[in-house]
Amino acid sequence: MIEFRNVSKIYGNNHIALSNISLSIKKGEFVFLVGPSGAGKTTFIKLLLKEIEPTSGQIIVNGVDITQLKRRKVPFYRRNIGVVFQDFRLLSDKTVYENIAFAMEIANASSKDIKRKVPQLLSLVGLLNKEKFYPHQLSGGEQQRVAIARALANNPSLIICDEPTGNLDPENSWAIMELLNEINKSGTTIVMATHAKDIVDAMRKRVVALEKGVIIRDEQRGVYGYDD
Amino acid sequence: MNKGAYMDMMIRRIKYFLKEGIKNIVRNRVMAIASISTVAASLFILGIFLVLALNVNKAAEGIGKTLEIKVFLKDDVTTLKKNEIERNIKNIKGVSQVIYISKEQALEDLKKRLGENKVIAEGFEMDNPLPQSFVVKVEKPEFISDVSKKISTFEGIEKIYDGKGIVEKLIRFTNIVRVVSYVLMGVLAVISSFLISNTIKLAVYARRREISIMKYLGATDWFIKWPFIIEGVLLGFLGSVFSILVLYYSYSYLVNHVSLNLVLFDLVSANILLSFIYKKFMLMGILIGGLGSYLAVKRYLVL
Repeated sequence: MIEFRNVSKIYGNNHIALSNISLSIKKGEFVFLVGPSGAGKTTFIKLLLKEIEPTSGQIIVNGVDITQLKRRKVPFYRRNIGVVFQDFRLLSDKTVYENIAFAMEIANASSKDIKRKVPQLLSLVGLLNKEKFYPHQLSGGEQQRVAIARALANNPSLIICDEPTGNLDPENSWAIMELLNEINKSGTTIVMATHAKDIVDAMRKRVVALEKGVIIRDEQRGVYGYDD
Repeated sequence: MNKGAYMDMMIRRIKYFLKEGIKNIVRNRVMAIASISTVAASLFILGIFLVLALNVNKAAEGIGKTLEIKVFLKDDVTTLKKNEIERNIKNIKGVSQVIYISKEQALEDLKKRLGENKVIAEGFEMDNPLPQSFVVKVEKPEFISDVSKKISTFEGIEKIYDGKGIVEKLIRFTNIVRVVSYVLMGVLAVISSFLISNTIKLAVYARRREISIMKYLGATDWFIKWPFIIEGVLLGFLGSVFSILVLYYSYSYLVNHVSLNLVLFDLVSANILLSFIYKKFMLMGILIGGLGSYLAVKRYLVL
């Protein structure tokens, strides 16, 4: 479902972030993206979200070369991707319920669908009793669960996670990983950039290791492989 | 999506855009008040000029109605010739009435006007220097200059006073007032738009985190832009409503308390002023606000 073909990204200051990357991710896979800071993980994710354009190469998602995607089509492309960030990025003036409903609102969902779907999602992430809370009234783990519910709101075929456990304690991190694993089992592809060695080692999923802009390792049921 | 669901969505959209626009205004009260005030001030100044122009127009009309042409005849015009001239004047299109004033009548009138000083006119009976004349009334003030031009081609006419200079001066004055008010209005509208644009810029800046989140969620550019456009339009609209109210109440006060003693003719009533300006002002407020927010969104909302 995702294919990078000879993708390079060179920033304005001649910094080579990605160098001739080719990679294929199948539908329903769970892929960890690992590597030291500055290895190109963030660039990889930004390319996938079409936040930036590659210097060369093609990126094909669901059969469409997104490097050729017209600007006005980008929002519709993004509605098919759920994103989860290290810093949650919830809207602070909206309640838990409203945050999730808003994502559906943006994607033109009917109010009937919204009323039906939001409680389902809240129940999935175990926050049904906190729908009227504002983000600042929640713990980090709870906020991240809201973010995951939001990412799922429009039934995406792909979820991209950028260090989703980076701000969480181990207990909450594991709860989040279990949730992501559940979501993956129901068929959603997950690409997750992370520094969490113990999580990667324990989950035994596909691991793609980046270093200085190139893929140095790509193994099924892999491990983190660094000491940091 | 069926039609009902689509309508439902559109209504929710509009509600959302309005709510967000109002939220922006409340969040940035100080700038919002400054923007509303400048719009109100610029429209208020335009309003003052409009009040002037409306009243000058009314005055010109009033004066025009009472205007008459005075046609003085040469001394050597005989009664026969005089009757011919009178017939000719009556035949001119637009003339409603012709009154003959004989030399004797003219002297009587002069004495009446002089009152206690009629001594000055004493002895005039012997050798009356006042000419015989016609007072010509026309149906509409616009006819005056045409009628007087035609009369001046007749024989035996000494002089014509048609007072059309007064009307022309009034019209010229109204035109100057109009041009000055448009220029001033234009300058102030630009300043208002600029201030509104600046207000929107701050709103965009304050919401940059939300904007970036909305982009990740797949919001279209217009979904993100609309609340800001609406914010500007609301600011302009509120400014116009404010200026209409201030103008209406201050003018009502003027009409009721000042005009009676000062002015020679009736002022245009406050209600006529209101009905004349309110749609125009609201439209202008909305245009000023829309222009300001459009500029801000175009320049500062990088999507």
